[in-house]
Amino acid sequence: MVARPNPAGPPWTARAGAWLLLALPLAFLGAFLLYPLQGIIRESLLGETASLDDLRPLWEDSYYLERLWFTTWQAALSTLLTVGLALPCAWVLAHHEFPGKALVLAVVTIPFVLPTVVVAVAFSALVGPRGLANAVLMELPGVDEPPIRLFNTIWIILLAHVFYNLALAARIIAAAWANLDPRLGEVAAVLGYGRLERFARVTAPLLKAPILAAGSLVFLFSFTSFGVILILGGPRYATIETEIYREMVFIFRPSLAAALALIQMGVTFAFLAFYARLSKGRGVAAGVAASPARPGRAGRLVAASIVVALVLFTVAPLLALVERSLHGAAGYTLEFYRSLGENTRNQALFVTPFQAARNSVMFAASATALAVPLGMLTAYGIQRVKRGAALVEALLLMPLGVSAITLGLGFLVTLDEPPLELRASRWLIVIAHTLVAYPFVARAISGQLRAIDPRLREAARTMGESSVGVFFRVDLPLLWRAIVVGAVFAFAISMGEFGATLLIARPEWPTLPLAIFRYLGQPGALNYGQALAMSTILMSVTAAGFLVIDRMRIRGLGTF
Amino acid sequence: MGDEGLELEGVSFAAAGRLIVDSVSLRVRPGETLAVVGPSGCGKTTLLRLIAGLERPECGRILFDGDDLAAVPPHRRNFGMMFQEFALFPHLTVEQNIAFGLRHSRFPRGAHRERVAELLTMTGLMEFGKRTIEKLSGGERQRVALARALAPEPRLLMLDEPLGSLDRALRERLLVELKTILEQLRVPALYVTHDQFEAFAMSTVMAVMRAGRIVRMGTPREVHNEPQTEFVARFLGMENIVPGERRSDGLVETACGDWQTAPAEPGPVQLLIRDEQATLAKQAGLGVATGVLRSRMFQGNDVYVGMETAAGELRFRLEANEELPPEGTRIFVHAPRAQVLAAG
Repeated sequence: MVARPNPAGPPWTARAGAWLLLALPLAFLGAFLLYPLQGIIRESLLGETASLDDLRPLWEDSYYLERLWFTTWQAALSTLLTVGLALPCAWVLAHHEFPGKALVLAVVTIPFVLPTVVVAVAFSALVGPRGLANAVLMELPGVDEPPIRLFNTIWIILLAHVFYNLALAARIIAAAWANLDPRLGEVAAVLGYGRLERFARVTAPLLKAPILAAGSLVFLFSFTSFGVILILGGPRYATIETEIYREMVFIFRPSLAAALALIQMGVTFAFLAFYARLSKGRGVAAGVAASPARPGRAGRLVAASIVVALVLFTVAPLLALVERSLHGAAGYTLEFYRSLGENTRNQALFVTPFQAARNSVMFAASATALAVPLGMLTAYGIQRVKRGAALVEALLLMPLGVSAITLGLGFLVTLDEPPLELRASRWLIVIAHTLVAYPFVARAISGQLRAIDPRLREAARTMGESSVGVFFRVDLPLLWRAIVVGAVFAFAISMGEFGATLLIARPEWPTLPLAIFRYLGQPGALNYGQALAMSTILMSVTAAGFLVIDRMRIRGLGTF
Repeated sequence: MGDEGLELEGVSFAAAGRLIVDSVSLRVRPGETLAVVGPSGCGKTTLLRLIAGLERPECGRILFDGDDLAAVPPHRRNFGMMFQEFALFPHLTVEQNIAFGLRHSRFPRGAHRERVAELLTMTGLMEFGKRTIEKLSGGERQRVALARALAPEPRLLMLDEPLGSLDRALRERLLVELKTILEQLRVPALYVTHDQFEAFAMSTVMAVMRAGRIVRMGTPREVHNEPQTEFVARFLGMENIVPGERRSDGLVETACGDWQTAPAEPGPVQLLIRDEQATLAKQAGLGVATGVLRSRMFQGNDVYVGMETAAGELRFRLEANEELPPEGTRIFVHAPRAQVLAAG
């Protein structure tokens, strides 16, 4: 036997190279994800100062059980509503072509990338006591009190969760639906199956995996939802997530907070594992181009009404937000925007809203600058690593299952003492944001990297390119869109991050979402107006960023 | 009894302003297999979809046993259809795929198992019943698709490129099996393919389609012997078509030789010189093509020779034991069969 020369050199160099690439990302995840999580476990169960007595309220006070119960059923209900509404939307997106479809798709996806604070404020601007809908209705004769009283009810929480996740669920399901071979339905028709029966026996079973995947993501997001619950729900509707925050900040029982965080993580990791298994499953009859359906008049009419309803549902709170931010006591005015640079009362913050915005941009830029190289290293590392790839991917998925408050809590209990004493540093915020954003960057780049045909690199090598030359002349030109998408995503995520920042940011370093939250909590029309104005600005930045990403048309966007 | 089987009367179908199927009329009786052949995009698949009821014709009538099907939705027609690339249900096992259509068939629920077993035996899939589709090879999938289409005992069977995605050796074997099964069942069948040899082998009647129209219909032998138009001749792989001048006694004069055809209107014509039954001749004469030998390809029983003539390149099949001179030499080939083609 003749030994075949291996062009990549002996395999151990390739493997060593892979782990070399992964060293930095793994160190990062280890220090700022696993280490804080370990801190939470220690704090709750094996705390040096804490004893089991501190945890006694957990089982002695039925309050916590009630919170867990409420958290679960509101998330379950949000999921059912979202998926139920996403199905008809997915049907339209997968099977109907109409002018402006790409724009509609982009617009209805905007809520998913909006900061939670902005979503909460937008709903308050639409249906809150001082919201647009109530303002319009109170113009009517005989209406003296705001007729829509959704605030601090379960309904506004559910509504906001549906608003948040509808497009995400619809896109996941639609992608799978469009890939279904239309002939499968036709086979069933020829074999004697009517329309409804075809859906029940062919379409639904084939869509089961994507529907469950979308559902488990929505459940995950609703279960750990923070900003929406805190701002729209009020104290009556505390969830585990807001309860951790309350224990930590107002009651100061860190061990109890940590125990709650552990319970929450048990649930989120179970769902995350379920989701990962589903989305890794076999693709269903993919690879067959959907034949252009020619829907009948009735079908087109139904589709058109669904599109209009979906767009209205998406756009109404956003437009209400803009309108309210421009509406002062005496008609339309720019007063709320103009006052953002002032800090006359010095009540809510130590700094002006304008400075908060500057902080946000600075943190976002730093987090992006960290997340992109980490994402690149991870994408290349994962591609090369043979064994252990599943482990790295699971580790990458983990930040998704760690709620913002849990992350902040972990930072608080571990990063305020050696070996990692960062409590006083601005970097703490940057690191938290990077941790949340970096998996998205890595996934965007790694998806595109996988799509590069390895023969392209081999062809370049045979034409005399060095491996460095191959990177710059083959990889980079094919990857730059994915890198831009990842970067913009990271920037937007950092700009909007609320929960973790709320726990770890020092008063002198507020971000825009924190400023909005503080101003909302203050009485007075000017404070509320300024919160609206800041929310409008934040919404514009993130929405614009998202529209840029959407133009890039990278595969794997909207998936995790 | 005259209207048994499938009948199409002037069926047309347009999509996006383009006629895909253009006034097609045809008839398939029990025991017959109609092969529809034509280049890709000629409308053959659409024709099947119209018959299945998956598309609605713009005009014309589709009848089965004399009943107009216009108001009958696809799931009430009781037709069997084998789709291109088979379209098997990925979420079901082989057995479940085959049993899928039984739910709405004349077979009562209790008889389903037996019927599935019957089809598994017929298609030689006995051990495959519990497998999932993704674990099957191309040939096995083809059998499952056939079994699924046959299970409910359809009154008409439609096969859309049933061997299209398989490799050559497998195709030839399955072709024989498929033909045996169709002959046993005696259901009227439509067989769509782009492959003329499959059409010749499978059909009792064949129809050649071009741009939505049927341009030639007849038994495979008739179509092969009398392609009638240049399009059909070329589609069937007959390339020796040369321009010539017909005299009133039927003699056609071309730049490479003269051939006797039936007497008809004098004037310019297209002459098809058949490549079979050709032999080497000593000199020019009636039915002899003259030219320079350019290429030869040994093909076992015969040699395929290419010659350059004043009327262009011609190719003939000669017996393999003919003594051929070196390439570049002038040769004479006696090609006894030639016919005048109509335009189109």
